[in-house]
Amino acid sequence: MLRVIGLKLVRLVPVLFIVSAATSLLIELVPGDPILAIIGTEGHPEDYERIERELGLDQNVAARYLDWLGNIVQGDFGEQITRPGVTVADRLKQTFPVTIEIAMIGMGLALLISVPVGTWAAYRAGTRFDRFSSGSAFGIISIPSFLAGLLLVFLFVFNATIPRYGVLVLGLAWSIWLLWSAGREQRGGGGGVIVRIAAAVVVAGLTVWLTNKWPSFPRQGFVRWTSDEGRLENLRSAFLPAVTVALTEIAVFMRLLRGDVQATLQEDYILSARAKGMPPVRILARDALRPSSFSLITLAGVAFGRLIGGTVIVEAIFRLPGMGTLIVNDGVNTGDFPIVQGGVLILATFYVVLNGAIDVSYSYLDPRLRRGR
Amino acid sequence: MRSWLIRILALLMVFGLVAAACGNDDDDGVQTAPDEPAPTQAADDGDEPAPAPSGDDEEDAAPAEPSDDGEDAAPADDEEAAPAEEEMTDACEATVPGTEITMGMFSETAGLDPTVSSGSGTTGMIELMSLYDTLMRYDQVSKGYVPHLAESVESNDDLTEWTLTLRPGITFSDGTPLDTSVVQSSMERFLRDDPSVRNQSRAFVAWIEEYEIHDDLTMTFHLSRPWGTFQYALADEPGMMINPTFVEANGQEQVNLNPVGAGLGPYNIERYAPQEEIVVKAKDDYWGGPVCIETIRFVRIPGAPATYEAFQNDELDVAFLREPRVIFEARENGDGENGWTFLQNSGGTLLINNGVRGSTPPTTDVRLREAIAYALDTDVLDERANEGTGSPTSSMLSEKSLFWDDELFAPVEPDIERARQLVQEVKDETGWDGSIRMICHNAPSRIDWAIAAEALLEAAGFDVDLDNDGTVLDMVGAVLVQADFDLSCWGFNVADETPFIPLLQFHSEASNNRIGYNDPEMDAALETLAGATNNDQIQASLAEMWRVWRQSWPSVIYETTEELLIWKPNVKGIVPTQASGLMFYDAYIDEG
Repeated sequence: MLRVIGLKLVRLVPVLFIVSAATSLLIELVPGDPILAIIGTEGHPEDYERIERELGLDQNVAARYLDWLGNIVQGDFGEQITRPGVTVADRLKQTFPVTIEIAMIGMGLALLISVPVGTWAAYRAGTRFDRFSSGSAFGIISIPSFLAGLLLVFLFVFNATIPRYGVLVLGLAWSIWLLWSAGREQRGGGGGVIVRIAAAVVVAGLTVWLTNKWPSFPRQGFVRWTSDEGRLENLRSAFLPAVTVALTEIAVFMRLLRGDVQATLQEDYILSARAKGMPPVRILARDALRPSSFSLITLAGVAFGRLIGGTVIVEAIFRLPGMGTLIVNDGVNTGDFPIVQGGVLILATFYVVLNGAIDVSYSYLDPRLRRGR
Repeated sequence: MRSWLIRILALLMVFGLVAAACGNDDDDGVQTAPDEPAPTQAADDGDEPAPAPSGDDEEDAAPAEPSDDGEDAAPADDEEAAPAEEEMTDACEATVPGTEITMGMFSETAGLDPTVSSGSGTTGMIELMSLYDTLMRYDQVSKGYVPHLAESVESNDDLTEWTLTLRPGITFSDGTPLDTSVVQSSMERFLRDDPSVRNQSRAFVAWIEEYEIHDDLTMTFHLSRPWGTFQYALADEPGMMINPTFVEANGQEQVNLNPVGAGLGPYNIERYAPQEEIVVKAKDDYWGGPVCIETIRFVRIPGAPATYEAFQNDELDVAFLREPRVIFEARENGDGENGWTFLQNSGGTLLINNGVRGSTPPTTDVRLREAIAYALDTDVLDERANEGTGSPTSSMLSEKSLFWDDELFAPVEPDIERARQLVQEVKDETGWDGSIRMICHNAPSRIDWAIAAEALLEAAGFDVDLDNDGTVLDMVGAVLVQADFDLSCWGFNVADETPFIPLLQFHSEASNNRIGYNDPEMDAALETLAGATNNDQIQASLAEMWRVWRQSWPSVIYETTEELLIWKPNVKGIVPTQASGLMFYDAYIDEG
């Protein structure tokens, strides 16, 4: 195993070299001039020449890249051009945790919802639940994330009474349905009346609690995990961005897992387990889910890596000080190449390491792969 | 269990749920202000603070007379616009613990060093004023400069020597006194050979030829040219004093990153996180007395609509708005009543290449520049770009300007026939085919504007090659660096408190003359403006400039830019000053 990990780490070096060199070339081709960002519309032409000379920006792209590479080898990410004295390392330290947190919460939410729903939809394929969940997934997939973010802002920030009373109505309806079904059971002489009434009371209680404690979500900004304002504030500020990120992933994961689980459920060993009378939950959780999760894990890994570098839209909507905003706004838009180089290097490293870790995890999920080696 | 019992239970549950959920939710974790005012801390009994800025000091200010017609520069609400000084100084006896306001900025500052940050309230000045204060302050009520860290400023007759006297007893947090050597070292920082020096004040600090120090509190600035409103420099970044002991101990770089104790402002930096927030904390030893609000948080929310949404959602207490549609909406909602409107005359200008750096665009012909002026109907452009919510004008001044006069600054009336005639005349005479290049940028409102301008110009006989694919920076590069343009979307931001500095670029010898304009009459008018010491003289100089402008048409003005700074009704004592700046030294939160 150590050999496998070592090999993957060795492969990281050429990948990062190619990525950083390509980034350097691309940033040269994209419009954007850090000196113009510095002098602005009120600048003088001689200011342009002075700053270009003093910052060494009159060198060619290869010389600048080699300078940067030499510093990186010594662990120096350099300074941001457009913000004097601010180091790229400091900017990365500020922004990376924000993006990681949003991506992790988003992925967590996505998996938390998609795994049980997708698995159950596969088990109850063709039923109303399956049709409803599949239809919802298609609906959610078709909403672009910027629109989803704005919709969430509209609903949870400016019209919070809509989701709040929506929860109340749904909770009420659910409780009433539970009571109604209890009554039906009572008339039919079936059991479970007490359980249903208890469930109705619990649902009603939770609904009341949630409606009363409905939190107000901020339109923008981010409270850090380490902030004095506390972790609840951190979660409150991260909730809407994380849900925005999660929505698309939920739908994709759900569709993928439903298909895989459905296929697994046709396997002989599953039919055998059913024939032996094993409870469905046990079959799904222990026997069907694990072999069906390969595609999901691969996709989740790729999606997580993508989210780390691709949350720029969500970051823009909620004004989050994350990596996407850093690279696009402070880097690409102004041609501040140390920021772009440093940011891309970190993202590439993370992405490659993550995918390596996923490769390694396969052997744990499938004993055949372990034995094959 | 009987079914009737279940039905009753269901009914009870429904009523119970509705009553509970719709009931009082005061205990939802949101902290509300206690009924009693927060306890205040006794003022530090130590060193007696230097006298706070007061109304009396205004007598020492350079003369500044309002214009005869008395039109104010546009307080958002005439009655409550600038808080009275008496009210401000009585606001609190010490910093009120737990008080905090958040301000949404227009854009981010490049740093916390006055020599690095680029200038006006749009980019850093407000944050920096809270950290450093300034020697002088532009008073938006009296429309003149009043001393702040300074005690007085006086000039000689030819306006080339300005004598500054400092307030006695002001010290930095570490005990370093504010004296004339600090003033000199703070100003000379703008001229140091360092790529981080980016503030445009560098250009006019260079006009100070000599710092003549008389004693610890008195010094004379010898200028290389007459300047009637030199106080402007002392109320701008060069007037922000930097503790030399701090620089010596921590280096220049830390002034930009973590200037704790480097300035004389009411606040100290608590947190500087680019792209995230700047947090400042009240000093307990501020020279001007107690600072009421403990914490100010400056954040930047991209886009005026989102900034205003955050203000409406109570996430911001103060907001900087600079987009006509959003300003219009804020005013419609009554949010403009607490705040201040800053006018940027000539804020929207179609920059015309008059032949900069030896270039020979068709617009070197003054008839074509005049034709452009007659072709552009500013109301049509505003309707297209701002849905009619902007402040269109073809005059160099807004009608709300302090210097406005109907006759002196009469706008150019659109006249398409006259424009066609001029264009045809040039075509017939020179064989020019009508083609002209216009470069704008890709902000949505500018795209709309440029398309409308293109249509209006083509109606006059021009054949416009419009380039509005690039960013603002691309456009700045084409104009400033490459000088490769015929027409360009631009703006000069001529604020009433300092028309001279932005208009200086129309001087034939100005280093920032980016259009190659050269008119001896305009040079003479600018020299007169440079020597103007009161508002009547400034108005007369501007009128002369406008007369010359309408002869030589250096560029074409199409709108005044408004900046609306709004704050919540419970936030009091904010002092608007020059260049869209706000000062918080006497701000407080009215618990009532």
